[in-house]
Amino acid sequence: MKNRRVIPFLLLIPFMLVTAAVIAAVINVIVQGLGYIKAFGLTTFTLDYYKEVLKRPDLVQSLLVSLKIAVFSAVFASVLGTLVCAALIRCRRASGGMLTIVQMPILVPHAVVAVFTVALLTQNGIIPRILYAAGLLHNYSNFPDFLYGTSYTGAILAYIWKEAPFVAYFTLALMKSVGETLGEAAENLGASPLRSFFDITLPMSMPAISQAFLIIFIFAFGGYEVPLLLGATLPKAFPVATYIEFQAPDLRDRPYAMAMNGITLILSALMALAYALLMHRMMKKRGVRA
Amino acid sequence: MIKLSIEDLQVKLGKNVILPDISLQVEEGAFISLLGPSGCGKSTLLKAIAGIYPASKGTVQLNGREITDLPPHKRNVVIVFQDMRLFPNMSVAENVAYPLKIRKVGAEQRRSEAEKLLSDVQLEGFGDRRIHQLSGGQQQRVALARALAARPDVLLLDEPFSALDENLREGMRALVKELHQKFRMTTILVTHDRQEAMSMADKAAVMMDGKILQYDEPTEIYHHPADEHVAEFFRDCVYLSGSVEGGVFRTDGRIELPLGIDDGTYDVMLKAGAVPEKKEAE
Repeated sequence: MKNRRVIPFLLLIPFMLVTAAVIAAVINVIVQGLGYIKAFGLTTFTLDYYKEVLKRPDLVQSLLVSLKIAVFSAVFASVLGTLVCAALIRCRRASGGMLTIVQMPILVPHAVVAVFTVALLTQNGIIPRILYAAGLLHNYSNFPDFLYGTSYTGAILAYIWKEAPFVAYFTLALMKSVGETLGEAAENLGASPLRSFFDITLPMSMPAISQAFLIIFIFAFGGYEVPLLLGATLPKAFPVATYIEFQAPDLRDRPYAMAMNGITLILSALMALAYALLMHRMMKKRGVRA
Repeated sequence: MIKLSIEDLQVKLGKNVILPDISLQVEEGAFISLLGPSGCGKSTLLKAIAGIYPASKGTVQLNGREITDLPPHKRNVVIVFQDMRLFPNMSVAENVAYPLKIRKVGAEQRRSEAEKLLSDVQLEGFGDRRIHQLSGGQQQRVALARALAARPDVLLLDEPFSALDENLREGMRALVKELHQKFRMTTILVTHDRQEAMSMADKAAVMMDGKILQYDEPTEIYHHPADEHVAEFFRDCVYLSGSVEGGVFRTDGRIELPLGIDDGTYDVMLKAGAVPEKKEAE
């Protein structure tokens, strides 16, 4: 009997060790960002590094670029993913081969997605070539320049391609069960399938969709490799700029990088908090515990 | 006049034939019950009438018009589901008014009709509540009000009382009968409860293994079961509804039993042997 109680805790030890390491790293980031690194002779706590980071125009630009990538990626991936999810359910393809195809982008690493995007979307990439061969494009240079520009369109497209299926997969189980019960009831009462979807199935699927939105937002906001491989030289995405700062030759500049990490952490935490509050309100109204 | 006419209906789910060949006629304004053990296909038949399950053969006609290939939302045949399926993202009144909203009824009229229907199901003043604030019995009544709001040509009740406590069930049955009298809506009740089927309906269809074995008035089914399966289904007990006045139980004037118990409505249960066995009579 005694063993039975102990075993779950023993099994949790590896997980708890990893969690402890993550928490230690976060504390380290926060402490160093506040200017305390004893090994480098920095021993006073100060907010100056945060202030200076937020005063540097290039870093503010970087922050805005990362926010833009996060917002556009999360919004478009969520909308597209929800549509794909609804289509899969409507066509009774919520399991089997079609779902596997939809799931594939989830399995592809982000760096590989970035390479795909380059192969497809550069001005002499696969898509411009197809368009040219089809006579739809007179000149390769007429193809819009998605990559390496300050608009970060390429990075956003890469995130959408990879994350829309994630939204679809993440939402599928909930949307299917809502559609088969409440959605069916709405249609039975006279609502067209489209109306039933927008009145009932979609609002009732929002917990899953908005959770997926939050995950993508925070992931794209802190994403490094995609904007590095597909974005402009300036402004850099915030995590890219952070890494460059982290590699600064003078170790005494380390707190700048850590302050930047701190900013990423704080903004992500604020997003998560806003989400939690929103969900709590919504769930309370429906009498479901979030 | 025939309201609903089902001819040679076949329903398949995947490769399984659930209903091989069903025919059923329901008179305008009638209250009929579909009775049978669970898994006999009665809920499937209900969903096929509502268009949720497509027919692979046969026809369904409503008011003389064929609706076999019509999608569910164009049929005006409304189900009160066993699990109620109220919309948690709407208030009680919004739930009841939802069919009216679909039919583009103005906000003011929607509100007053929802209030009227809520009072019909004895839920005055509950309009602003959320669904989760209601008890199971109250939710069932909201589901009923919402179905009535759609003014369906045929109202389908899919074991609507089975999720309720025994004491609530009786009240709901009385309410459903009362509403049927008031709205005169053609109603089909699905149940596996013999007493419920026989006491509530003008006619009952006994179903087994996807087939209707007998479709007749309840007393006919009691006294002249079509075959041994129907007889078997009723064999172990039979209920007689009635009331006790002055210590004497009476049921539609035919049976009188001096029991000496408190006045009120009662069901008398007769155990095995009460049903004449046709097999032997033949």
